[in-house]
This record gives sequence, C-alpha cells and structure tokens, in this order.
Amino acid sequence: MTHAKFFEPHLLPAIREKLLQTDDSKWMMVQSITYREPILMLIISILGGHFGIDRFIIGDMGLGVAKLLTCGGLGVWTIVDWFLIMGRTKEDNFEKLRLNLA
Amino acid sequence: MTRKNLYFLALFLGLAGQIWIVYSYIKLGKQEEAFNTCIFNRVTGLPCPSCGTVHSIVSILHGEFRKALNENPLGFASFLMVAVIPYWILADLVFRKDSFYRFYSSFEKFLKNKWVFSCFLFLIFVVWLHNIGQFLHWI
Repeated sequence: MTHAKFFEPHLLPAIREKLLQTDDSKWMMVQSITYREPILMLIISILGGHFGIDRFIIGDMGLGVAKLLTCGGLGVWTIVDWFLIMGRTKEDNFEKLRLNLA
Repeated sequence: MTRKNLYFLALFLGLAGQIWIVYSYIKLGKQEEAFNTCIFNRVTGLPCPSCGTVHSIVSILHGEFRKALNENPLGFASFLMVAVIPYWILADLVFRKDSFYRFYSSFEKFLKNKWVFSCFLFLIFVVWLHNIGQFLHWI
C-alpha cells in the first residue's frame, strides 16, 4: 500500500480486498494510474481557491464556476474548502481507482 | 457529486446569495457600501474577476443594464443563477424530478472540453482586466 496517502484511511481495507480479488492482468494498469496529491491540492486551495482553481482541477467544474462567480462564496467557501479539499481529492482518487478496476 | 448533495449545496448557495443581494440592495440604496467579503481584494488591494458582481446585480434590479455591464458583465450570469436555480431545485423536489441534476451533469461535461474551458478562462481573464482597468481608472 505505497499509495495509501492518496486514499481515505477507512477505505484502505476495502481497497486491499478489491485489489486481492482483481485479476493480475490489471496490475500494470492499476500501477500506472496517476493520483492527485492531497497536500498539493491543499496548497492550491490556499493559493487559488478563491478563484475555484482547486475545484476545477478536481473536475467539479460547476462548483468551480460557482466559486469563481461568487468571490469564493463571499470568502466563506474558500475557507471551508481548505478543510474539505483533501478529503475530496482522496474521494476522487478512489473513484479513479474504482473505475479502473471495474 | 450525488443528486442530494448537489441540491442541498445549490439550494443553500442560491438562498444565501439572495439574502446577500437583498442586504446589499438595502445598503446601496442608503448610499452605504456593503461589507467587502473578497479575500483577494483585501489581501492584494486589487479586484478579483467577480468583484463588482453584487453592484452589477443591484443595477440589473434597477433596470440599468448598461451600468450593470460596465460594473461587471459576470453580474448577468450570477443574477440568472441566483434568480433561477433555487426555484428550479424546489420545483424538482416538489415534482420528484432530476432535471437540474441532468442539466448540471451535462454542463460539467461541456465545460470539461478543453476548448470550451479555454474560451471560458479567456472570458474570465478579459473581465478581470476590465475590473482592474476600472480600479486603476484606465477605463
């Protein structure tokens, strides 16, 4: 589990189980997935969260536009996202892995 | 994002936006400035792309469309969002439909196209330059 930092801790047992059940032929594909670094996303959120850049990078385009048009949700959303963005990044990484294993 | 999360967030944002606009409308009516909530503006002293949106919406409510366009063109998009989305979601909830969710999903897909997103960023950049130009009295 060298990629454990990319996922929520409570999801790790489920990911392990899923990987054990997965066919060996998918191993290379799983290894080649590039995950987003949660810490990097936090830094981006602190620096550019006001413009919704963090949400755009994750792929939440609608929320990014809403954040951009509202001055970062009047500044409140910007600050709230500093606490949420790491979890959201890990969720997104899990989704990416799930899609590749499906 | 699930339908439930999206509806909760969009409804909350829409209603909060409406309250903020009513507050600003009253404040600006008394010739007072509304509280500046823009972190970027407070930190750098420069306006962000969406600074002036509330002024623009208040001008739209007064029927002064040219003034609204001059204050911030994004005000029109924000006005549409704040005026339409909460009621659209409420209608969806009442009639147990998911039309807004489907619209949101297709909008996200549309914006993920790199050309569309580049055009969007370019427009935002132009609006930002316009805002900075106004702030520095270039325009």
